Amino acid sequence: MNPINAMKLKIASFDFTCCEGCQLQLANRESHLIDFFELLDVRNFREISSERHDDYDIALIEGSISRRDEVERLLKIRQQAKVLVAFGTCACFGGINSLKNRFPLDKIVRDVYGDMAVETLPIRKISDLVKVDLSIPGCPVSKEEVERIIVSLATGSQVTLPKYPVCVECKQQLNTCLFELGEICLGPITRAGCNAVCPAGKTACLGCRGPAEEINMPAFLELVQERGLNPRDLQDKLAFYNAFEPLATDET
Amino acid sequence: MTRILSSDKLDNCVARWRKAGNKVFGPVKKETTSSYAAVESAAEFDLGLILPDRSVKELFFPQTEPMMRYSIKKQAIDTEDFQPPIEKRIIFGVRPCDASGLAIDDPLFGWDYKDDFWFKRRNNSVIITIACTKSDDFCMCTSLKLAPDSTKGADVMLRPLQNGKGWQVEELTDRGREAVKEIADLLQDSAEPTAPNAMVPEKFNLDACVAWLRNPENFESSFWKEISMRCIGCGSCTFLCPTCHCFDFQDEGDTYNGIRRKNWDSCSFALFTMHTSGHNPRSTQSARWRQRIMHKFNYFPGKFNVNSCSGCGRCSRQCPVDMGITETLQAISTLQP
Repeated sequence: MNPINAMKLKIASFDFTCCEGCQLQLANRESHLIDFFELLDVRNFREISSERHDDYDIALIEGSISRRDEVERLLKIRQQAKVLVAFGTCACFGGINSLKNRFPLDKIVRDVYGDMAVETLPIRKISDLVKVDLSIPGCPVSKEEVERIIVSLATGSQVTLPKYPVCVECKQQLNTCLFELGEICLGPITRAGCNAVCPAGKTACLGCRGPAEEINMPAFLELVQERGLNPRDLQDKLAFYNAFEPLATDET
Repeated sequence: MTRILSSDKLDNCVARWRKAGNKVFGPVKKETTSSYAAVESAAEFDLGLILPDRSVKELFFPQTEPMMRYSIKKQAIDTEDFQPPIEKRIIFGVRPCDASGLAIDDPLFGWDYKDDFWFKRRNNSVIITIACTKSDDFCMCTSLKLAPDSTKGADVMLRPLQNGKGWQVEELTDRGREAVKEIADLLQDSAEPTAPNAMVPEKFNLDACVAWLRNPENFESSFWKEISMRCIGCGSCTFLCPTCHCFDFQDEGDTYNGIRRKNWDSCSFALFTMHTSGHNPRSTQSARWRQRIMHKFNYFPGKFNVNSCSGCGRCSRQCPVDMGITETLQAISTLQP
């Protein structure tokens, strides 16, 4: 019985420069796993199946791009995929990998690989190289959100991400504000959808989901300043996932 | 001579009320937050709080509550209603501002559709208020023409004794008399004087504010933009407010089965008035903040003859960017009507 005629989505998942943690999330939540895979025809997904096929419609791309062969592979996937999804914070923004871009390339290759130098490129997010049809941010992605998006894709309904900030989800849980505890939390400016998992656990939000549309940036910056919190700490947090524009500063 | 309840008898009272089939609630401090919570003994109460972080509202109008279960079958749709709880409750140590908040919302939940979930709980609960003998910088009941010993919404009023060892007992309603009857033999007569009420200075001139809000010319005032510049739209003020009552219905479930839930909503969220078409009549935070203030001090009193604010000050106390009702009305007080 299937009154909405959900079509099975031919899906493939690919990892680039990343920890593969986002893809592993898809194998989590066992209670929903069978229903979830009912909607999917997994064509290529090494975390989940040993089968390999090249006919897929949806390509999930996890990770950022840091090598020449990754660029070629990505372009090929783009040719095949009808819907290309930047999957997780590294794919959407560059992620933690972007720390690399703060140093001269030859120095970091020397520091990490010593005499066994490898060819490497500065980190780029997926949309720097190919057209991205859908971005699902998160470090890692939230399985609940992915389930919701997959159901929307399968039933042909509109895919939406929350436009409001993490604060909203945090205050819904009536948590004590981390600013009250003397910390800089990026909750006021970061896109919701994670159910405020970090601030609810008394860890300041680092903005892995990137900026939300409906935020008040000037008020947020004033808040940090008024509370006498360290502007350097703010810079570090904003830069952590490379998801926010760096602030204009007086420092040279 | 008046009747008093001495502090060391409080635990006996809790036991007595519980034995009579009541669930007993009161101010309880947990690790980082305080609220009115169910207790088994009086030792769990924290009666030293100026007021709990969370208001008593959530015991009558929970943050989320199931209304209906539905299942879609081949030929029909089955529905099954959830029923409001019918347990008897004693809520001890409610602050006058919180008790007032309940009385303020009564007409709202009953003027048209009578909300059974609200009124079943109201009718099965006894509110035992303790007058305030201390306050903090955010308290503003007097600015709302209420007081640290307002009896509004209370079934029993307790006035702390000067010696700090108990409370003078004053029954206000039949429900209150019933609850006191169950502990009558634990009360004693005494001439001990009561402690003075907390001093809560008036923070703004309410009448002047209302006059300004009622002037239609001020609807488009640039004031709204200026005052709401700081708002980050987190919704904290509305969730903690003892009188904010907006809610939204959501169906949660899969294609065939689900639960319709009633959830707290907030006028400070952009989604609050978002139409299906994508048009949003309150598309800016200033329009949303204007609505909040107008609703509380212009539209609500216009309909129910009472302000939708009891002066607890939680909106300001808990606001991450330090803007609440007080700051806004103080600013309005200084404007020309």
